[in-house]
Amino acid sequence: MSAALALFSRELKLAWAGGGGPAGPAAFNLAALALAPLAIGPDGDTLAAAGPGVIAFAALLATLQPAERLFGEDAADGTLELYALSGAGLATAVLMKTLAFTLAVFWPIAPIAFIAALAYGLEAGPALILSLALLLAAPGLALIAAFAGALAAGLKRAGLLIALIAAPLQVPLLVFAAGAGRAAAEGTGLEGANLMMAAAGSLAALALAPLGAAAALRARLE
Amino acid sequence: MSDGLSAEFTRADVRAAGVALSRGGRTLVRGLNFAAAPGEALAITGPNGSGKTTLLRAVAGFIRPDAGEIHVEPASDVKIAWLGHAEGLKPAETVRDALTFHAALQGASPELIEPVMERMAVAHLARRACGTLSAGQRRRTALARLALSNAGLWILDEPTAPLDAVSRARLGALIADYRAAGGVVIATTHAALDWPDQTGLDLSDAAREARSA
Amino acid sequence: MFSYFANPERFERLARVVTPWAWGGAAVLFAIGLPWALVISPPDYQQSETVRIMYVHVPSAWLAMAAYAGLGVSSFIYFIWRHNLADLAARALAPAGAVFAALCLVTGALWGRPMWGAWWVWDARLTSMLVLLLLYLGYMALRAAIEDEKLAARAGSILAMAGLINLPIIKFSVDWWNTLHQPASVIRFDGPTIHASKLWPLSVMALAFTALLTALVFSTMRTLILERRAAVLERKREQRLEAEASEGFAE
Repeated sequence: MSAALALFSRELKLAWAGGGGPAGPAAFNLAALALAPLAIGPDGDTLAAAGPGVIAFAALLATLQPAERLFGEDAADGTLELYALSGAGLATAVLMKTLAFTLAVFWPIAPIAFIAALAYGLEAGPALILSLALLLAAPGLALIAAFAGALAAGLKRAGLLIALIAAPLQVPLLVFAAGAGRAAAEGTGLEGANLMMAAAGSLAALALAPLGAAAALRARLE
Repeated sequence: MSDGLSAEFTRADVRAAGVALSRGGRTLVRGLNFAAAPGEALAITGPNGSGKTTLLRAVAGFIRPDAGEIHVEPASDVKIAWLGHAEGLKPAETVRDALTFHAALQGASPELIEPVMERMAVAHLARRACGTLSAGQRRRTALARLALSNAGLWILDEPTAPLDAVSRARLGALIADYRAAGGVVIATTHAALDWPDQTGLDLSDAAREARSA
Repeated sequence: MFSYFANPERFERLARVVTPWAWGGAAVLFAIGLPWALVISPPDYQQSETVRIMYVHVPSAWLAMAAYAGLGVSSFIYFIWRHNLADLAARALAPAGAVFAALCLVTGALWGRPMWGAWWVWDARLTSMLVLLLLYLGYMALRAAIEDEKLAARAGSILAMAGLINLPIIKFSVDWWNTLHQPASVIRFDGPTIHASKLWPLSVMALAFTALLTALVFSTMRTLILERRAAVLERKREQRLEAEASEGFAE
């Protein structure tokens, strides 16, 4: 356990300090949210209707943005070998690293979603539900992005590849997170079910993605 | 326990028989046999592309041999420490933070960190970020990490490459203490290593055999 | 069974028999099925002549899904037992499955224009098929991006297994997404019952597509085996010449 804890706190520090920490993905998230209304048009009703979807989609893009460096750097600088040979094992290392990274880098996703939802014309209640949905979905989205990042670690044009690999796997979380916001905004009463689905999706990703990512990284070590 | 070396490890026995290795579909060596008992050092030599690094990766368990077997025993207890061409240091981390983390990861006593840094002459660099170190300083930091690894087997790929004569002597002394404590060292090398009674393993023959097969 | 056929020579013997039969079977079945489906079978009372697109659309959908299942299973076999033939099967199945998925989407769009008045409707089935196509494309892009053949096979097998585990979840989420916002009821390809006059030509077409997939997969696998053999010979020659060159220099 202490090895896992050591991994977690080291990766938390590195993620917070290295590569601009949460600033990059947050700026990316905000830029997408600022540009979307310029594409959709200023009509208030249309924006409010599109809001939950656009905001959830911007959050998904934000989780893809740093996925390339998540394991790409470890593969290049020899860290992967050290983690694989440590008593903790590669799967634990991947889990700890991804959780630390999610905590350090993706925490702005939920507050940004809340503010953006208000700006897109949603009421405070639905905005809060959407923000909560993304809080629940963000770890799952990040874990899937990390899995894709592990598969593409060290490849040329890895960023593009990661997006193509991760996007279809992230579909369920996108559906449930945006669905919770839409259900709350439209008053269909389905937001609870969507929130539970989003949480279930994140839990499933928590169980499977670290194993998949560790297997991919072990293949890279061969 | 010697000063500046973590020596609470399970002793390792390495035995390999009939090993064949390939890289990218090309067979590099065939019919390779070697062994290393606690306290022994194995220096692997051979021409470029003869599979020295591939052999190290196989001993570490990253690669499965195409044929033959490599045993590191007792398999469930032995810890392996690795030092490759890339040192595994993070540019933003300080030397002390890096070593503190590895001590915690490998279950070594944190009290060892200072003596180990003294020993590898990186104590004065403790607060420097690893990204600002020179090649030799990076290698010495990585060697300090090795001394903290609590591993029964050290696998080193060209450990002396970026080191000057003084640092080489430091490494030699570290290796000697580690072997005296019962550690096993397997290293590849271009330059001759002046470690006392090391066993040599030349891959030229095994590589020739692989080509002719 | 797969370990029995994992022997390349045994596979070669099997493939030598299966490949021509599969091609021949596909040709015969298409010769019967296509005129039957596209000309002879009766038009639908609701969809009139456009129903004929179904005879291509539905088998493509089935085979796109079956090929992904095959991709996932052969990837699992490769991942666990490292049988090279399982990897070759996966490599052969992916492009074939992707083409079937694309065919399914294109025929769906062609059918949608007269029936729904739009080239594309975000119908749950079509959307799931679109995501399946993305899974195929991701798999093929990953393999193409990795130069080392072994690593490409390992990484590809892990991704295909993840895709297979995810496929039911994706399907569920897309259905869920769709029922949350069901547009006006649309005519679907498959009513609750299909009349026998359509079921027969559909079955023949489904068999024809299956034979085609079998033929494609076996032919591709044989080609890949030959390619690999050629590469091994080439590499041996390289190695010999390099050794001769260095020995010549030493003298």
